[in-house]
Amino acid sequence: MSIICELKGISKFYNKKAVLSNVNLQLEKGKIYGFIGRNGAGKTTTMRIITGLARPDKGTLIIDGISDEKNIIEKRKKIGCIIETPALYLDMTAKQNLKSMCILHGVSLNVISELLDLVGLSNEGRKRVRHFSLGMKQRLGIGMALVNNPEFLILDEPINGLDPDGIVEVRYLIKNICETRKTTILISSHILSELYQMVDNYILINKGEIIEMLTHEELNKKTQKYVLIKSDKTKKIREIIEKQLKIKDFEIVNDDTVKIYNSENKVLEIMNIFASMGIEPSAISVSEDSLEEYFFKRIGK
Amino acid sequence: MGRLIKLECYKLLKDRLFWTIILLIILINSVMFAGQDISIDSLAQKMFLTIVIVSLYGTSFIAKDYEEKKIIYEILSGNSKTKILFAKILITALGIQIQLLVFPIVIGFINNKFTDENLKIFLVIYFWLGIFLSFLATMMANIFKSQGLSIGCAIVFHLITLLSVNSSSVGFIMAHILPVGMIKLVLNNYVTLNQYTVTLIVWDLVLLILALICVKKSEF
Repeated sequence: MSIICELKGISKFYNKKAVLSNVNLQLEKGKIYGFIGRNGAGKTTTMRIITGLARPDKGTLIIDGISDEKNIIEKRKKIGCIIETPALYLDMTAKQNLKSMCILHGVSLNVISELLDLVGLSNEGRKRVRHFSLGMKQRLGIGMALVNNPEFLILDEPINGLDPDGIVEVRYLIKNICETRKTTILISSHILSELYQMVDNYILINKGEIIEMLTHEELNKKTQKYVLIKSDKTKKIREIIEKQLKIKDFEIVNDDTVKIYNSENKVLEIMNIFASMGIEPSAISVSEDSLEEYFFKRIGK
Repeated sequence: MGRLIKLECYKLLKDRLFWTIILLIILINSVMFAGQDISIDSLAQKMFLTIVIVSLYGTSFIAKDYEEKKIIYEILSGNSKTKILFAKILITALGIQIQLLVFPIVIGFINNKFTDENLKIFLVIYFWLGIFLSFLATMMANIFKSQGLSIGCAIVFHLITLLSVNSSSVGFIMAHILPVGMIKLVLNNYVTLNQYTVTLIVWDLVLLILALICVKKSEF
């Protein structure tokens, strides 16, 4: 297991209020990590600390095995990032923006056309970035973060505000980067269904504390399966579930939906009992918690 | 640091506002001096607007990198904040010098006044003033990290300079302290060029120290 970035007991305070409390994280090389948390949970602050835009008040940051401040500056060359919004030179073209990054990193200008192709902006010619759509700006931001061929890419809400087409484009781009370049990616987003399609590992953060780290497989195991029943006779269904099926782990949602947990192998039995009691549900299916529902359960909402 | 300087240079040359301001300065001063016999004294007196414009441009040039978070790329390029600051000061100073000296040099060539010893003194004075303005811009941008606030404070600084130097009670004293006010004193031989240079270097050092303190403690 090769670690690209490690946070050991990192805490950060703003006006004596803890924004991050004793955060411990280990990010392995070549994986995509989804960073999930509500607004103000500490995602961006964690990313800012990793990139050197903010300093931790406690704890140690280790990048590629290096933790001392002087050498970590050198190690940060291996990081590419978009924090909050892509920082672009609005009066320059996409090509000029990438050229500025090549100058900064001392990279050959030959990478520009390759990156423009990768982010799908090779046909934008002399159009200034000011006139780009949000999706194009996000893609250019990712392109700029890739100029120095980083080993570690940090993307803070890269799909925020994008239309469905833009979201799909960015999703494919991120997957492509990870597959072709073996880049470690830490990505935060509030669109959890999108994260679910992209990432290998999840980091759940709430009120400045990491509440859980789990892999995609672990999440799938942990998300509860349930029998979903749609009917307007929920009172009668409740009685049947409690008295005849003797199941306690269920809930009624929105007055017309019943979720019976951990009973996916009892669907036939449930349907038979309902039929004998004269109940005809409008729908019955086996389903499971989404990442969103799992997250809300974990943060106790 | 070479790459940082190259990047700042590239940004400056690609900045439309930089070229627009050069044109604006030439235009404004051409109108102001139209039909007049241009002397060193009149140049020194009527360049205040140019000084303010270039100062605000320099402040905006640095502050927008902080405001729009473009500084992040420079930090991630493996350079220390101090190196980033020095690269910015250097290229801002270059940009300010070009804008500040473009009109006097053009006029010098047109009127063939480069032999005039006064013009040489004038150019030296404005060179040091340009350096001071770039340090002032750097300090303002590093303290406020927003274009609006830094430009606002730079305007306040120049307003204070204008009002205090022209004040009947404290004007003469303030002119010995404030760089823009000192120009007239040098041209009227109240202050020597060396005294002027030393005063501006002291200003530059103070502003640099303040900017360094800010940048070391800064989070972006």
